[in-house]
Amino acid sequence: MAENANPGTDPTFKQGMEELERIVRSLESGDMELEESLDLYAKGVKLLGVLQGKLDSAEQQVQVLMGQLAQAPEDDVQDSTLSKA
Amino acid sequence: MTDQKEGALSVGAALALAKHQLEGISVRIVGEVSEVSNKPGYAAVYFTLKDKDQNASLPCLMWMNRFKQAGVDIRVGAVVDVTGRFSLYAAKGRMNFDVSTIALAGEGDIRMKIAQLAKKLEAEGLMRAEAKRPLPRLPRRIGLVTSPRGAAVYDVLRTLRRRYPLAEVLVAGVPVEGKDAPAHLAAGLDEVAAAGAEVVLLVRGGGSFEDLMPFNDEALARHIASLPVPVVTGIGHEPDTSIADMVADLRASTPTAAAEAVAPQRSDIQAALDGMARRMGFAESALVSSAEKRLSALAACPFFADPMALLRDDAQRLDEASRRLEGALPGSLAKSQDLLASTRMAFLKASPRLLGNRKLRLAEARTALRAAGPALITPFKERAAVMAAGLESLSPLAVLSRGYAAAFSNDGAVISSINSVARGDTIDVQVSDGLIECKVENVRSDVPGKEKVH
Repeated sequence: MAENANPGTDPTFKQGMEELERIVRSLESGDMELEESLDLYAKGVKLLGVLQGKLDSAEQQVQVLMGQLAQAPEDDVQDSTLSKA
Repeated sequence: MTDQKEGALSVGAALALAKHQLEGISVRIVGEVSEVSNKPGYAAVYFTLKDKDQNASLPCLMWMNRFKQAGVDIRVGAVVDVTGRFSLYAAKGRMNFDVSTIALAGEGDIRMKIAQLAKKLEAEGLMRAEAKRPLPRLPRRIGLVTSPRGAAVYDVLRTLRRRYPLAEVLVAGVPVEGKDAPAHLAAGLDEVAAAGAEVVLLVRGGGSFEDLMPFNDEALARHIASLPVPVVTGIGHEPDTSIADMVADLRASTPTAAAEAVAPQRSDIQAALDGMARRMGFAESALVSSAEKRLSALAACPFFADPMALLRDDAQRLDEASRRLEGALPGSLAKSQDLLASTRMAFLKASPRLLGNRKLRLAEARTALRAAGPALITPFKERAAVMAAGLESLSPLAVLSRGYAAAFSNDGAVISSINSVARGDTIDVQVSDGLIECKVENVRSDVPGKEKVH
């Protein structure tokens, strides 16, 4: 329920993951000039850092569109569905 | 005492009397099940029926064979419609209702209606596996339609936060119970889908069968099926599946399970990132080491290891040539010059003497020839004159002038035999002053003037 800007909602996380997968597959294909592969590797490492940063700093953002949420229980309250299941 | 005794019945007789009266009464009863005792090995199922206001209760039994035939699952709270008769259990003096038929009342009808609706929607294809949409792998926005109160909404939020904080959660908190609940739920689905949710969670905590009824609504079911994004349900904890569950793209058993279904585990994302980092490093180092290998293979080539080797052969030939040039050329030139000079000297010395001799001998020979010439020719001239006279007499012309002729065939050969000609041949006959062209008339072998000719 963080109000601050959330990097996790940045539309590029999923695209970043897909881009990173493309880079990895390209490098694994091996049919690439060394310079080209080094550039791509550098790009991949940078993207990896960006994605890791997003994952590390992600805080869930909740937007209530309808109704009014009651006071949130503490996280350590036992999961009601698990207790009943 | 005696009178009393005489007028009195034994307990057994009294109960038998009551039993006789009771067991004649056959009735139909609708009531709510409050206690159930259905244990293996028992000959009958025992339960208690009561009225809603709980002012009356009736112990019931149903013989196991009948109960099994009825196929009704009786549970506490279920409203049942039974027929049977009263009976008395003499040993305990207890009245029972002996149930012969049992059916779920009210709710039973509803269940049947739900089953019919399920069949209808299934026939329309709303539950086909092909109609189920795949869930997005890394959803950016997750919709949540549920009651804003109660545990379910927080179960979901907590699960999403723990597993997948990358997603934004769009919550539509709507009433989930009551007559209007289906319309609210449908509106909530629309709201979160319109706000960009890539997948929607439609959840509700546990509740009674009646509590979950809004999720069996036909309009809501159609709404779920036609929503542009996939819907995951987690409704109650009942083993019963609602219509909403059936038409949803994925059915989870609880709200938490629904949240887990749409949210990848944070550790899974981390593992995916780590895996890609590993693969990327491995691939790149393989590329680099393969380039290194190629480079060192090239570096190991003889001409890189020892560039002079390329020139070695030529250098050797050059050395050789130069050696020969240095040694041989100046020496031989000088030698040739010496030889030439000495030859010229010798020649110059020798030539006048040689020429002189030859000239002298040539003059002598010429003189001798001049002297010898006429002496040699004269005898030939004389002999030639004699021979010319002889030749004159030998000439055939001389013979012909004496009247002889010579015959020639067409090819110019002299005809000396009759065998050389045939009748009809043309021959030439040479006489002293010309040629007579003749045709052979006949050929005879006798030669009358043979002697004369000779």
